[in-house]
Amino acid sequence: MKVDNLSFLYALGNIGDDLVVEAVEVYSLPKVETSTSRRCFRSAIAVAAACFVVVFMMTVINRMNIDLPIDETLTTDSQENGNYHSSDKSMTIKINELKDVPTLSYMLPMRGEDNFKPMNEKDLFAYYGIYLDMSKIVPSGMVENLLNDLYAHGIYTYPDGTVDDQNVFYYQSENDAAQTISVSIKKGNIPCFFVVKAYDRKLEKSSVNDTEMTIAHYNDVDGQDTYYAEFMYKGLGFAITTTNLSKEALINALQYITAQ
Amino acid sequence: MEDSNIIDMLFRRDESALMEARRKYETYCRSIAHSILDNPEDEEECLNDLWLRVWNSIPPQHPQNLMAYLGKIARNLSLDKYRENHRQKRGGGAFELALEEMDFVISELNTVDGEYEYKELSAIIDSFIRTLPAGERRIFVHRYWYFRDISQIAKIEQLKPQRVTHILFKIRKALRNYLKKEGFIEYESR
Repeated sequence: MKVDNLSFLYALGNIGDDLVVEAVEVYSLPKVETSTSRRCFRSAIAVAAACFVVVFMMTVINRMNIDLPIDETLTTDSQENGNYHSSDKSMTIKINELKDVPTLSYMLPMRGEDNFKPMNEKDLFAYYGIYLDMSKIVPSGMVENLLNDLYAHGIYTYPDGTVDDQNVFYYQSENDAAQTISVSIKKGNIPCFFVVKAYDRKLEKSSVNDTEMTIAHYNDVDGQDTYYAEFMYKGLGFAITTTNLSKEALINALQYITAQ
Repeated sequence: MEDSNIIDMLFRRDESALMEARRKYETYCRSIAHSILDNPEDEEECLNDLWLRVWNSIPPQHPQNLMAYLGKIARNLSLDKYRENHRQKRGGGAFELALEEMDFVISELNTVDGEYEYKELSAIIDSFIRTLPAGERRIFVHRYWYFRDISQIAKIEQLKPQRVTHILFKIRKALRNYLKKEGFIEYESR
C-alpha cells in the first residue's frame, strides 16, 4: 500500500493514549511545593508598594479605588510549605507555590461560525451583568491581542441549545508579547482552566473584598513566570492568568473586579 | 461516573453504559468528527457508528484509557467518512490544510506493505513525538491528531498564531528527518 497523506494520518492516529489525552489537558501544573525554605517577601513587597505609590501618583485616577496590602505577614503555615501569605483588612492573600505536573482534562468545545453570535464589549458585559473597565485591570503598555479570531467576543450556541459563553480578554506587552494577562469569564462556572482541580490536595484559599479565591504561582511549560487566580463573583466564574507580571499586577486586577 | 465503571457496565452488557459514555464523551468525540468532516449529518452518522462499535468491541477489548479509545475510534470513523466523501475534493478547512501540510513530510515516503509495516510506521511516529518538548508535542497532536486550526491551538497554548505556525513547520521538518533516519524515506530518491 502506498502511503498517501491520509494513510499517514491514519498511522499517526495510533500513537499512545497518553499523547492523545495530553493534548486535551490545558495546563501542566505543579504540585504544591513541599520545600521548607523560608521566603521573606517583606522587602520585595515594600519596594513594590513604594513603586506602586509612585505609579499611582504619576498615572492618575483610574486606579484610585484600588488598595494594595499595607501590612503583609508570613504566617507559620507559609514557613512550612513555602507558600506566600499576606493579609490586611480587605484581603487575605495566600499564593500557592506550585511545581511539577498533574494535569486536567479539558474538552475543547465544538465551535463553528454558524453558531457564534459576536458581541461587542458593551453588550457582552450587559449579558454578564457586570461592567469591567479593562484599562483598570491591564497594566499600561499592554494591548489586546486581536490577531486571533478566537479572541473575538461572543456566545456560542450548540445545536442542542446549550450555550458556551466563556470569553477571554487577552492582553500582551506591545513590543515583545513577553508579558501577558488574560481574563476569562463565564456564567455559572469557573472558566475551562480549572487549575485548582489539577491537584491531588487542596490549595489554600485567599480572600479579596470578601470573595474567596485560589491563587497559584508557577513556571508554565515554557518556563514563564505565571500567576493564576480563579474565583466566582456575582454568579460569574473568573480565571485570570498573567505571565511575567508581578503579583501586585494580579492583585490589582482581583481587587478591581471584586469591587464592581 | 468513573471510566472504569462504564467499562464494567459494558462488560455486564448494561446498555446504560452507553448513555453514561455519551454523556461524558460525546462532546469530545463530536469535536473530533467536526474537525474532520464539518458536516452535522456526517458527524452524527460517525457518532452513531462509534457507539455501536464501542458496544461491539467492549468486551473483548478492555481499554486502559476510555477517552483516548473513544477518540481514536471517532477519528478513524471520521477519516473513513472523509475518504468516502472527498476522494478528489479538497477544501480549505483545518483538516484539509493539515492533510496538505503532510505533503512535505511524506513526499518520498517508502511504500508500506502490510499491517506489520503500517504498525511500525505508527510506532515510529509515536517515538518521534516523544522526542519533542511537552509544548511542541501537544501542538503537534493538536494539529495532526485533533486537526485543530492554528488559531485554536494558539488560544489553547496561549501563543501567537505565527509562533504556532513556525513550531509546526519546525516539527514537520524534524519528522521528515526522523523518518529518513529510520529508513522510511530514502535520501537518494529525489
